[in-house]
Amino acid sequence: MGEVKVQALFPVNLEIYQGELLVILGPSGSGKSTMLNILGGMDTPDTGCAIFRGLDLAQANDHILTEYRRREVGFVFQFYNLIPDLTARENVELAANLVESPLPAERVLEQFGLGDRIDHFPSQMSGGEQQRVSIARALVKNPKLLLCDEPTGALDFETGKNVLSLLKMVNQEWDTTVVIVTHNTPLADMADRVIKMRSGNIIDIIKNPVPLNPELIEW
Amino acid sequence: MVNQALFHKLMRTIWNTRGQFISLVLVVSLGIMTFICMSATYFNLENNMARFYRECNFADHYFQVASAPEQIIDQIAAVPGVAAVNGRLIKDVKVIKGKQEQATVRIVGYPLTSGTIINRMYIYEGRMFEDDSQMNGMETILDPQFLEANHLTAGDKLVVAVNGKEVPLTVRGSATTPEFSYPVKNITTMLNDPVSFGIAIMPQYQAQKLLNMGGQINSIIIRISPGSNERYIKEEIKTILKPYGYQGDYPKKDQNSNSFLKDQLRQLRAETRVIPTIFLLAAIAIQFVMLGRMIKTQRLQIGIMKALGYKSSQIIWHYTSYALVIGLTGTLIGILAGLFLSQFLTDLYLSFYNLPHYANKISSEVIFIALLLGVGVGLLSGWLAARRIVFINPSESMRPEPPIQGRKVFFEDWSAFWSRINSSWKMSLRGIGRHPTRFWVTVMGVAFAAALLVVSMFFHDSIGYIEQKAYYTDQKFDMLASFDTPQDRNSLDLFTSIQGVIMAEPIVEIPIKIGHDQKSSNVILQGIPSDSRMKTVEGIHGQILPIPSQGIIVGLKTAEKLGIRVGDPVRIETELGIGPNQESVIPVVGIARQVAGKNSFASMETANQLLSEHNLISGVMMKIDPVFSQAAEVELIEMPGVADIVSREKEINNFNRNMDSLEVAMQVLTLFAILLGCAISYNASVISFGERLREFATLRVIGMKNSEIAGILGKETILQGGLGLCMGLPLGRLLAGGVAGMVSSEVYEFRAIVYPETFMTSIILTIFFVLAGYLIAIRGISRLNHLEILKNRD
Repeated sequence: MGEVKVQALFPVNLEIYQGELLVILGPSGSGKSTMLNILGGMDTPDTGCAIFRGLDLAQANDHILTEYRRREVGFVFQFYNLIPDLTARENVELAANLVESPLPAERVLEQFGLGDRIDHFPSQMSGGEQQRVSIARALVKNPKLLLCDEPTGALDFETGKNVLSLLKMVNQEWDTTVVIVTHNTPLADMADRVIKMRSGNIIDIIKNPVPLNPELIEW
Repeated sequence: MVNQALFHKLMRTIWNTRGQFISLVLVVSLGIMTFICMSATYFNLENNMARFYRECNFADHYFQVASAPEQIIDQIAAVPGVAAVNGRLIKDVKVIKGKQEQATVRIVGYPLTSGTIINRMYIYEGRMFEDDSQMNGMETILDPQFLEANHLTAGDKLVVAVNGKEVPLTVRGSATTPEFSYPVKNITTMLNDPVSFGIAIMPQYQAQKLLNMGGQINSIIIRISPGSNERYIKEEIKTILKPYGYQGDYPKKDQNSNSFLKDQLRQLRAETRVIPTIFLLAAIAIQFVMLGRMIKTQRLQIGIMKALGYKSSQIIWHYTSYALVIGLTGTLIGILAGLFLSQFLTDLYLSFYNLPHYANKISSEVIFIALLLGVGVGLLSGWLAARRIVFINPSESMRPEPPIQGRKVFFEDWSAFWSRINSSWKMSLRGIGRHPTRFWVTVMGVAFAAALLVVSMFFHDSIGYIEQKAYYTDQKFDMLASFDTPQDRNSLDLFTSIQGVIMAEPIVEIPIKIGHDQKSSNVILQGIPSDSRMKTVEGIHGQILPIPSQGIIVGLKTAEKLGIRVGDPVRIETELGIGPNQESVIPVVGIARQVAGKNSFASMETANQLLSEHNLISGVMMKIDPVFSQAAEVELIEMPGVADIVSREKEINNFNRNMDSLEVAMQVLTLFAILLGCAISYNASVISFGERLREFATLRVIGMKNSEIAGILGKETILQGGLGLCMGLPLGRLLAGGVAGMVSSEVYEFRAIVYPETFMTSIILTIFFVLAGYLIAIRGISRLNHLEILKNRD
C-alpha cells in the first residue's frame, strides 16, 4: 500500500483586502491550513494562481518565495514554535536580522507586555507568553501580512483572549492585514470578514459590519 | 555579518547537546589522535634513521677478505667511482664471564685516520678513543644494548679470550653505527641477544695487535660517488681482493642491520598507518551518521527558520557549522594529543631500534591529511544532512515527520515464529522493522567497535602462533650447539654422551647465495638428516615435505622473490668464510613455508656436496631431559670448538623481546579501540534515545511501567548487540588478514590468527559498551517527564 493522495484544497476564489482582519473558519481537514500555507509562500498550489501585489506565488521559485516570506509575511503558529535554545529577545532578533529596517525587538516585546521576560527561554514562559513572543517575532519585521494558524489553539480561555486582543490591536494600530485560521466559531465575531470552509471548498463568505471586541467573545 | 541570534543558537545547541557533542568530538579526536600518533611516530623514526645514516656516513658496499695488507686501501681508493674507502679488521672473540654464561663480542677495528670515516660512531656515552692511548692499554667502545645488558659502565674492564690468552679491554663508553644498530651474530639467528652478543669497537691498530694481525685488514667498506656504476666498481675491487682470499660482498640494502631496520619500519608502517586509518574511517563513518541523525531531529526548527524567511543556504550553513565545530574541535584535540603521545612512542621505538634521538620534526603532510579528513567530513556530513531537510517544503518540515506506516514487519509473515513470542518481543521487532535505519546504524556502531578490538588484539595471537609454530612444531630441539668451524660427523658422539642428552642429530648450516635468472638472495641452507626428528619442513599447503636425497627445498619468501618454481635449476654459491666459495647448479625440488626465518633445506649429503666435502657438520641439535638442562648447558659451553649454544627458551625470550615493539603499538591501539567503542556506543544510545523521547513518553502515559519500556529497549539492544557482534567479529578477522599480510616480512610471516580468547575478550568488551549505552538510556527513561514531552511539540 503506497501513500494516498488527498486533494486538500479545491479551486477557490478569494480576495483579501489590505488592512482587514480575516478569519478562515472550518473543521479540521477543511483545507484552511493549506490555504494559509499557500498565502504565506510555504506551499505552492498545483494549479491556479495566488497573487500578492502582482506577484504570483503559484509560479514563484524557492528563491522568490523565501524573499516573499522574509519581507511581506509574519507567521504565528498554534504551538508557538519558538526556538527552544534562544531567549525571547533572541527569538525575535532571529527574525529581525532578516530585514533591513526591523522594529526594535525590545520595544516590541515591551509593547506586548513581555518587558520582564526578555531574557527568558521558552521553557521558562507560560503558553500565553510564548505565543506573544511568537507574535512579536512575526511582527518585528513589520510585515504587510500576518498569518495566524490556530493562534489560541493551545491556550486557555483568558490567555487566548489576550492574544486575540493583541492581534486586533496590531490590525488596527499598525494597519497590518491579519488572517486567522481557526476551527473555533466564536472567533468569527471579531473579524471584518469570515470565510467558511469545508472539505477543501469555500462554502460561505460573511461580511461582519460590526466586528466585536475580542474581550467580549465567549467560547 | 555574523547573525548574532544564529550564533547564540549554535552555542546553545552545542551546550544543550553537550553529551553528544563531547562524545562526537571524542570519536573524531580518537580517530585523528590514533592516526597522528602512529603516523608521526613512523615519520620521526624514518627521519631519525635517514639523518643517522647521512651523518654517520653509512657505507654503500661491503667486501670480505681472508686477510689483506692495509695498503690495499690505496689501490681500492683509486678505482673510479669510489668516493671513500675504509679497511677494518673484524673478528668475533669470546668474552670471559661467569660459569654458565657465554658471550661473544665482535671486535671491529676503527680507523683513527684524518681521512673520511665511513660508518662513523654516534657516541651515546663516554668519549672517543684518544689518538695516543697506548698508555691506557686496550680500549673499546661497546654497543649500548650490550653495555646495558651486561651492566657495564665506562671505566669497567671487559675480558676477552684471544688465542688462549685473556686480555682486558677498558670500556670507554657506548656508541652505535648504522652498520651495528641491530647487532646480530649471523643471519642464522636473525634475532639479537645483547646479553650474549655485542659489538666492541676498538682503535684499528689495537684490534690488529689484539688479534695478532699487525697491518692486516679483512673487511673493506666503501662509499660510492653518485652516478657511478656500482657493478663495475664491485668487479674491480673483487679483482683487487682475489689474491688475498676474497670471501664475498654485499650492498647496503643487504646489510644485516639496515635490512632488519628497513623491514621493521615497513612492518611498523603497516601497523601504524593501516590500523589508524581503519580507526579514522570508522570514526568518520560514525560522525557522519550521527550528525545526520542529530540534524534530522531539528526538522521543526529548520521549518520555522524557513517560515521566517531564512534562505536555504543560511540554514544549511548554520547546521553545517555545528558539524564543523565538532570536526574542528575533535581534529585539533586529536592532533595535539597525537603529537604529544607520539613523542613517547618515538622515544620507545628509537631505543628498540638502537637509533640516536635527534629532534623530532612535525610532518605537515600528516597534519594536513588529518585536518582535511576531520574538518572535511564535518563539513560534508553537516551539509548533506541539513540539505536533505532544508529542501523539503517549509510547510512540510514544520510538521513532525509523517508517521511510519503501520505495516507488518517481515517477521510477522513467519507465523510459526511470530505466534510464539510475547508482546514485548513483538513490540521490539516491530520497532526495528519500522525504524530500520536507526537499528542498523547502532548495529554498525557495535560492529565497528568489535572489529577494531579484534584488529588491535590479533597481533598478540599471531605472535604467539609464530612462537608455537617456529619453536615447537617446526623445530623440536631443546638446544643447538654450533661449532666455530665445521667438524667431522664423528664428533656427534661427544654430544650423545653428555648426561641428559636424550637424542642428538647433526646439522650443517651454510650461508649461501641463491641465484635465479638475474636475481640473487642471501639465505641459510640447512643440511639435515633425511630422517630428522628435530626439524620439520612444511610445504606451502601445510603438508610435511620429506628431505630429498637430491636437490634443495627453497623457502617460500625466497622463491617468490627470485621467481623460483619447483623443478627450476638454481645457482648456489657457498659463503662459509672458510676456504674458497663453491659454486654449483642444483634443482629445486620443493618450496617450504616458514613462519620465522628464510631458510632453505637439503639433505646432509647434498649440503656437503655443495661444499665439496663429505661428513662435515656445523652443529648438533639435541633433545635434553629438562632435569639436566642446566648442567648440560654448562658442559656444552666448556666444550672446545663450540662457539654458540642456542636454547629454545633463550630463542623464545629473544623472539618476544624483538616483538615488543609491535606489541607496544598494539597495546596503544587496543586502548584507543576501547575508548572509541565507548564513545560510539554512548553516542548511538543518546541519539537513539533523543529520537524516541515522545515514543517512550507515550508508552508511559498509556500506562507502561519504566521496567516494561526498559524491557522493550533491552530486547532491541540484545538484537543490536548480537547482530553487531556477528558482523564485527568476521569484519575484524577480515581486516586482520589484510593487516597481517602487510606486516609480514621476509623473516616473519604473520598470519591472521585470532585465538578464541581474543574473540572472547572482544565480545566481552563489546557487550560492556552496549550495556553501558543501554544503561544510559534506562536512566533517561526513569527521569522522563512524559507530560512535559507530550505537551511540547519541540
